[in-house]
Amino acid sequence: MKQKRRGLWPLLYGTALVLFTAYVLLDAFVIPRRYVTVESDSSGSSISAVSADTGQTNTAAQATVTADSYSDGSISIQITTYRVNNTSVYVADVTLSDASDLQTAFAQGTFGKNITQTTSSIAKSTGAILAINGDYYSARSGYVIRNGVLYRSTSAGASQEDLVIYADGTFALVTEGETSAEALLAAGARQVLSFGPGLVENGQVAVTASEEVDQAMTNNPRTAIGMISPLHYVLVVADGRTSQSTGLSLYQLAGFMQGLGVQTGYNLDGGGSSTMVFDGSVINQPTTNGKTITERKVSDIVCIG
Amino acid sequence: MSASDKKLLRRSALAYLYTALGCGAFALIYEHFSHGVYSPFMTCLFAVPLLFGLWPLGWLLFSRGRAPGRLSRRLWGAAAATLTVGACLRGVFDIYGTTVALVSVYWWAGGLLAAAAVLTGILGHRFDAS
Repeated sequence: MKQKRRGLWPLLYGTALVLFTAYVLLDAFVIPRRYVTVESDSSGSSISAVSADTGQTNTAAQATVTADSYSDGSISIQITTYRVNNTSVYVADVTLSDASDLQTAFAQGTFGKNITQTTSSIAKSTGAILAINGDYYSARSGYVIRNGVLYRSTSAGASQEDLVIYADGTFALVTEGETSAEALLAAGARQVLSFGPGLVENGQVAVTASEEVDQAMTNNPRTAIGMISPLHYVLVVADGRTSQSTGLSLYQLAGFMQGLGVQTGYNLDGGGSSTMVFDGSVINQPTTNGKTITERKVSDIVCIG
Repeated sequence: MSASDKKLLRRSALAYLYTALGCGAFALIYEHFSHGVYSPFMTCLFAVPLLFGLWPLGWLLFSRGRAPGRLSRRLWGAAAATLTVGACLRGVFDIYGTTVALVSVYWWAGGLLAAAAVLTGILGHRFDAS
């Protein structure tokens, strides 16, 4: 009996530790929490607020669409595939006549935690002609401003570098230590993406050869966005982790974007999240393990149209 | 120190050593498949049980008194388990690229358990000495 009681404490504590750990894992990866649902317009778009504050509608009635291009008078997109460092890199060269056509959208039209959808399904539900994965805000802390609405003002740390997209379509790199989310919103920020780092600033490569995302020190699939000039952008996705594409380091990606003429370039969530969707089809080879080409579910996208 | 106490401490130190080896192997395998993403918490995971194993080893090598009581040993073990699991989870989250506030519970709980283990160890000996 005494022996049994001696073994009870480790058993009870071990059980409590396992149960708590299971809860932490479920909370981190599984349990969905909906904080704010973005209002949809009559067409089911979750980005009605963007259209509402400019008074414009994006009708695609007169659009000209080919396998690698789109043009409707206000939006012009040209997709080009490059081979860089044994990697396929997909570049969408985008020219807009209105900065509000550069938009973002949440999975299931909801700001929350563990609420995910594939990039292609979010793009479909918002009617976007072009989309790339965003910063996967729900897996990270950091400022979240989307389509002119502040959703999160919690800093990911003073050194966290964010991309600010202002209402006039200009890009800027800021660190969360130097400003608050409220101040960015007041200054006219329409989008704040919190991943990083900044790749190109003032036309110069802003990362070193040894710099990487957190502790990653190898080539990987990448997603990035850059501004060549206000209303002229490039959305870039590089394959990786496959026999056809090794992936790019941040330094290689930054150099490539600089070569495209990018003045301000920013790294978004990469790895298995890296996805580019054009006209309803995934055009890159998204993968999480290098064996199967599958599209990962993400929490948000950057999109056009 | 009695022979039974020495045996107890030796077994305890070996258990921590084996746990450290297991953690090291787990971290090696996990980081092998992490696409070049590393976390210091995962890389140094083995160090947590290894450091906790130094306490029974220290008693074994340097103390002439009795081994710490059962309560103290249990608390020490619980602290080691809590901090090891916490470090492992932090490593997993780092490599995944996410932050989870609940991980701090492991640091607090592990720290408190370790402090309680040391306190009960010292107090236990004072009672024994008196």
